[in-house]
Amino acid sequence: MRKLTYWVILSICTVFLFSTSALWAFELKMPLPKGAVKVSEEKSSLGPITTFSRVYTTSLGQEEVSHFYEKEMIDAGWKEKRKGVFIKDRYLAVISPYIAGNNKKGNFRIAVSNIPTQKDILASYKSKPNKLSYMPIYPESTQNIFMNFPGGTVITYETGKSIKEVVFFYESGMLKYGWRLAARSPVTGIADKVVLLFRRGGTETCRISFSRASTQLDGIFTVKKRDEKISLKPVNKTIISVNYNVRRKIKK
Amino acid sequence: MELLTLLIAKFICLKNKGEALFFYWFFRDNNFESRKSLSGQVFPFLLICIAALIVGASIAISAGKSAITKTNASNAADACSLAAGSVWASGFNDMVNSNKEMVEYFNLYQDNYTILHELAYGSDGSGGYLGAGDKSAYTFSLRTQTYAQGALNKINAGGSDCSTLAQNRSDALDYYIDAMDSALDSARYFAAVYILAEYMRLLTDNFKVNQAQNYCDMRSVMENSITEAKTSGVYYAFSNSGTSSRAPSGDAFSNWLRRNKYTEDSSFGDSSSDLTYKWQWASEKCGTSEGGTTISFTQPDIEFYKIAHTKKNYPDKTTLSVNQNVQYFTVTATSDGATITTEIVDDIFNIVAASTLATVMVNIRENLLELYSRLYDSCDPSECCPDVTISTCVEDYETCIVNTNFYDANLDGSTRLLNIVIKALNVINYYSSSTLSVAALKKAGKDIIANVWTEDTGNYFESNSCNDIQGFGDDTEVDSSTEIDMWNALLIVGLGEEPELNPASWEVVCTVTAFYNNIYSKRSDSCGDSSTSSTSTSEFHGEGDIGTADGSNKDDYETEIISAG
Repeated sequence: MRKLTYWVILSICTVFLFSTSALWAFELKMPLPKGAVKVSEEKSSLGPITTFSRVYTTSLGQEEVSHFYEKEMIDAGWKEKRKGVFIKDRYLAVISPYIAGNNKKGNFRIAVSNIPTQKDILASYKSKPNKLSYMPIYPESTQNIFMNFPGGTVITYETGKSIKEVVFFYESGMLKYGWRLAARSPVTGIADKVVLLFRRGGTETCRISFSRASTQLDGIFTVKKRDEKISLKPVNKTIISVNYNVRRKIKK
Repeated sequence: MELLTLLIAKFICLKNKGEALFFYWFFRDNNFESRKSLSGQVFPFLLICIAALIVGASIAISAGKSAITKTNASNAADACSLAAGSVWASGFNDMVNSNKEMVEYFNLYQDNYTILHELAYGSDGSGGYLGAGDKSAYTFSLRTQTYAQGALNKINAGGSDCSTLAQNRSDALDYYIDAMDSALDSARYFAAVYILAEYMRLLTDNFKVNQAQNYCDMRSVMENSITEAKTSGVYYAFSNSGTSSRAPSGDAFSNWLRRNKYTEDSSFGDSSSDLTYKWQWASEKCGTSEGGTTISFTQPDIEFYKIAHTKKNYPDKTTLSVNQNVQYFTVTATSDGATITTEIVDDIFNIVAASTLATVMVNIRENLLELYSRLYDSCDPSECCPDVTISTCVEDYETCIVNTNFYDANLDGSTRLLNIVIKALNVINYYSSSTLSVAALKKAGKDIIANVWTEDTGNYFESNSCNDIQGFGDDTEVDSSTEIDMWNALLIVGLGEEPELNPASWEVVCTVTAFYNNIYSKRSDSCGDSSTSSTSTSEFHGEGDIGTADGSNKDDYETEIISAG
């Protein structure tokens, strides 16, 4: 059992390292204009998409950089989707040349991202939502989208309950987590769409919007067998859309 | 001149107890050859020398005091301007770093936005989950239609013998299965488009909130920097004035020194850029117009910032053609044939449209599944009516029951495939004018990239307060209290260029006036009745600029004294 656990962990690490390094490798193999000097580099993730980006400075102008990459990228097997956007295998590269500052030096940015599969994109659907430390989760809801940003998280839930019930739950439930209701969309009773804006401690905001679902997507997110019947229930669902942000302090 | 000499001589040539002093003797009888007694002649010289020394010393002391005070004042002024300029420059460097963060976030946004859009729509119509590639909602929707048409053809083909009927039935069932699979795949790809559209909207929301918060934070840092520059200038001025030891316990500045934080004295916390400050004890003892050490401090304030923005904002209801085009559409593909009218309003990213199409595809699959199940449950002509055709089944009651089921399954299949499934798929796949179609979603995708795209156009607007960009950060429907119209663009970075200064100079000016008591003063309160002042000017300009929305920021704002005296 221990051995199995060991191999499982090792395999996961290997796959992770391989996928990361593969992305890096693609970035590193990108053609560069002569004399281009790296200024900065960064890795970021957004949902199922991971992006490596690098900024270079060069003596070439914007158009020259664009022409260089139009030729070199195609020679390297990339397919140009539109100006500055190239695709190869399951990677997408965005080349953004720009003029830097008053000295009119040419800078350009290369960002290489993995292209997620349809399965990756639908993967955030969960019948049991992820637990959150900063806010409550409506008990009878499913999680459609869960996506981390550098400054926060966005999540959408779906529930069969009415907007009124769900809004009441969050208005009282958020207070227990130290949130203060800062704004509420003007509603008389409960309209088809309600938006609540909460603030906490001067650095955190949480915007929750509630709307009626005009469609239902059961059976799409979950893989069903051929002969398994997809039931079309009446559409009376509430979509809960959460936008949680932590204000990033300016570095001193 | 002669008269003056005579007067001086008369004044100093006094008699002392009847004895002639040297000068008296000299004036009376300047004949040295008389050889009279010369005793006592040194004393007057000594007195004169002592007096001269005293006068000289007093002059020297006064001059020295003045010089020391002047030097101290000069040092204080230099320290003040240099310290304040450095802190202010440091504030600008903080602002540059903040700007860098905002540029980085913009780049991140732009990268991901590009990828999400590319995945959902493709750029040339051939790619993307909506496009015409091997794996896309459109491709699978087309396949669904092809297979549904195949099933319909087999059903309608009928047959004059049982084996043909059985074969067509079997083929129709296979077509149903393929059509169902394709419909589900198509639904999943539409769902993927829906999720990508949600990502784009949420990403945009998140971007707006972060940029707005970052800008407001940066303003706050800069406002604090103004106060910090001022207090640092005053701190260094007093510390270098050579008089800080005079501050008694309880003095505001003395308290501030000990606490190493801002004093409660309101003048320290005043955010105005100009300041005249005097020690608390000096103000109390000497009044406001004399004595102690006074700092006069001037630094430019930031009048406004220039903020870069993109072409269009989200949501912009009036200029996006996509909004006009997908405002309404009608779905006519329900299992019972009823019509559902779905109104789509403000669906700029096609969130509702894509999810509705996904549901419609599920609905189509539901129809296919029901038709498949009905046909599958009916008798197989090859087994239950080997000798009977549909046309003759009425002659055999038992066979007729079975074959009626078969017949009804075929009839229902033929009707629903034609009137619901294929009709709906026709709309989805081919009707470019319908908003419930792949073509409409593709057009919306093009409109998004054309109108909502986050291109930096080099446009700027002037911002005087944090509230100016509230419309960028929150939807107006949420922040109704501000009632600020949304800008016709996305906020890219906090600053496009260096902020506009008032006055338009990159200088901090400190004038230190120090009072001192001269030697003749009878004052004992250390207030001083003579004064000297010194002014020092520091420049705090960097070589680079704050940044133009391109990450070319340079945090090299430095300070140097450009004039002193």
